[in-house]
Amino acid sequence: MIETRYLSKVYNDLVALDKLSLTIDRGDIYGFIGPNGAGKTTTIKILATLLRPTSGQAFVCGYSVNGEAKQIRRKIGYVPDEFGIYEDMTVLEYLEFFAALYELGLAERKRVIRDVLELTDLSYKENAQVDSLSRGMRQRLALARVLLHDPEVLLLDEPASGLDPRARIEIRELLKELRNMGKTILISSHILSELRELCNKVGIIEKGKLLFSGPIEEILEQVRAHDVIQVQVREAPEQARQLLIDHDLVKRAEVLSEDGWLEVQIDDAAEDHSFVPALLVEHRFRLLRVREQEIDLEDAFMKVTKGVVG
Amino acid sequence: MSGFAFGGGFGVPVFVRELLAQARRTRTYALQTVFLGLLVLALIPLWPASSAASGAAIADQGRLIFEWGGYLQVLLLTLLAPAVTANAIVEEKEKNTLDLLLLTSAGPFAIVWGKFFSRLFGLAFLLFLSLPILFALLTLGGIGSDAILVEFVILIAYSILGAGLGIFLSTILPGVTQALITGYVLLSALLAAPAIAIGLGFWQTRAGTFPLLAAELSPLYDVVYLFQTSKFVATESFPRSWWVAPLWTSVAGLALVMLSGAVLPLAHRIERALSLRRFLDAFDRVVFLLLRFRWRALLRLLRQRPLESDDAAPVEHRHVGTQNPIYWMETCVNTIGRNRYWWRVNLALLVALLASYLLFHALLPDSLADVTLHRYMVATLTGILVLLSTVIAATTVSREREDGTLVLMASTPLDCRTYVQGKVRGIARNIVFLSALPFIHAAIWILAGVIHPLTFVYLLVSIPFAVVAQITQGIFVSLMQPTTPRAIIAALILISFQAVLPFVCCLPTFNLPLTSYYLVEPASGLGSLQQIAGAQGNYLAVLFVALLFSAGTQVGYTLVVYSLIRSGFDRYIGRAY
Repeated sequence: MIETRYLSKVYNDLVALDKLSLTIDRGDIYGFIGPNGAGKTTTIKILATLLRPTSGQAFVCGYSVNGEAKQIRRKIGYVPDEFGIYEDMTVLEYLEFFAALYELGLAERKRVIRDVLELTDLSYKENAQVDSLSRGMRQRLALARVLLHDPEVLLLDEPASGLDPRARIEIRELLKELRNMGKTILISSHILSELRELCNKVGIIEKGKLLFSGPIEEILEQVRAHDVIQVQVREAPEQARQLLIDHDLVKRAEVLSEDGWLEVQIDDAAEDHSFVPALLVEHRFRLLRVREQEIDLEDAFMKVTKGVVG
Repeated sequence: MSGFAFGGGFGVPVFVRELLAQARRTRTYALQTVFLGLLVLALIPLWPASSAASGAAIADQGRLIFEWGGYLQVLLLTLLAPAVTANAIVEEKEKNTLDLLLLTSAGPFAIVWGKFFSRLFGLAFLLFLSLPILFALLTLGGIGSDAILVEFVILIAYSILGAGLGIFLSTILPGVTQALITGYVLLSALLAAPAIAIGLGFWQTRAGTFPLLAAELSPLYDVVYLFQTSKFVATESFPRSWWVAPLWTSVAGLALVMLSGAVLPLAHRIERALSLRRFLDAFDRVVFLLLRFRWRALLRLLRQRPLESDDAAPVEHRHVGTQNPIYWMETCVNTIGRNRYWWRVNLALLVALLASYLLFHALLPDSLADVTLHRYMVATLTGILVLLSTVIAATTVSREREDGTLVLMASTPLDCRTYVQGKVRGIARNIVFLSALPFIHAAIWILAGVIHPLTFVYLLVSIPFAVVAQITQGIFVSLMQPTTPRAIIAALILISFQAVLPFVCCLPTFNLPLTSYYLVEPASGLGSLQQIAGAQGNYLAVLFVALLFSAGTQVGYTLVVYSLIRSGFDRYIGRAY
């Protein structure tokens, strides 16, 4: 549905995008993550036909951004990182205006507006002035706007930025509904915990380079440190730590919490970590649990952008 | 009261911050250049051309240059003082930084003094910059250095008043525009107060003389007093002189700053109390319904007492329907919304037009029967129309860009034709009242038997084409420029260039005010046309050709500008392709 091939964008001396190649399939919810200035907005703007790449190619719904921009505009819905405000326009007028720009017929317009207002839970605000809406409501209205012409692809640039927790949850639930409707969504965000729940794929970008692109489980698996395990003993965690640290194949041992959890890093020379529970049991420690190190998208992001993996 | 101590009380930190901010802005230097440039350009034509002229003649010329330089500086200060001070406190209120400033130990007086001194420093700097030019006049003779210093004191005192007033208005009014307009009105009223008082017969003086009080009241008349002392007549025995005006203006300016400091903590409350929003909103709703011939809704609204029921008034939904959405936005949202004030401006212009008849009747009773006055008036009205239609159009796209709404439209399939057509029609609709003013004027004086009826035909053919051309070029400028101020400046430069076009390119019919001037004919006969046609010529044929050429050049120009817009439309609105 979306494909870029060696996409580059250079502003004078600044390389905003460096040979970025990614593929997003139909129905994917693709989380685009990276630090500020990494090239997320540039990529989204190129896909929205608002920016011309210096080199490389990009395709949306099979249409090339080089030469088939008009077709692409009918297939996409773009939400920029800043909400454009029309003063003295009601929610209904705002949607009607954009529906007219998308050349929807009068009867269809009425039905579609009713549907998107219902979907975004803004029906009760249809007569409110747009500039009087809260930030969360404005973002929901922005999503309502891009759904008017039933686009196949949604390009969302930081839709949850600056929202309070309630509004973030509302946006997340709305995006889940859109996912269920089969939309292909490219979403850039800093709130990684929400992307984890929402997206099936992520791309990590830094300094214009795509460091990782693929299913979330794959990146978590890649960054997970297999030489680190966590064990929980019923009592005397400090003695257990001392025991472990004295062992030749243990590189590091730390008490994580008062309830007996320890994190143990084993030496590269060790074949596996099975000797750790065995050692503790042998010394009569009552072992409660053993698990691999927990890792989330934030850890993965930090590790990837630090160049640990990539 | 906190912050009233000296040092902090005079707002040194605020002063330094403001000064640094001003120093970093390009417009500060542009302003200085424009100020000096205007001064030099205006005075150069007065400089003695021949070295062979007698010493006395050169001295008289030197005196004349100095005198006119003084008037010009008073007028420039009147323009600049509100412009540089109007945003001083309003900006802090709009950015919600005023409360943060008030929470510091500096206190309200330190804030206003800091703002005041930084603005005054800028204005005084301009006056200092002009001193070398004025001192150069000493070489011509006719004036002494004492006159230069006296004039300088008058101007500095006037700057204190202008800056103080600007700070005060910025404190109590909600927006830059309100502060700016109020500042201009008050300063202009002060400068023109003696003329108005004399014109309306409050001050009885001999012809060509002024009471001494005029010089004491108005800085402009104080400058006149410096050079034409004999024209001023003392009506009281108390001896007074040139220093009265500078004294009271500087004291009043400083008092206004003190008052601003006192009311600053209450700024938001005062702003709300002074707000005319409800009244103006009610007025807009009435105009809006009138425009749509919604008589029933209008009656219902009037019965509801719109001023009292503003908050509870139901929102009227304005359907886009099948019309051009851009036209809908311009007429329904921009008219009543963002540019809601234009209707009031139109109304104010109509009132001003009618008031001008009364003024001319009072001051120059015979002038209204003379076609020359009507030529000037129609030229002025069409000039205002040309200026405003271009400037309004020049702000239309750049504002959308600044508001972040243009990028939303750019991501839709919106095409150039729909966009430009909607904008042109919408803006033309918004200024239809303004466009009607030359017709109203012409109709009144045709009926009064002063102007020839053919004048109306000419206006009918030329104004609509010219308005469309000006709006189209304004849109083009707005598409090209990234910000609203830049778009306005570019539009003004373009209009200035076009204003001199007839003189360099023989295109008089392209210049609406100029052709309006020539084609307003007296009821007694078609003088200009007959002069062009010759004694035996057919003046109707000349009129026909003139109209054809006028409309033709405007249509041609519109098409050229439109094709330029179309060729780069996507790029201008932020699309890549």
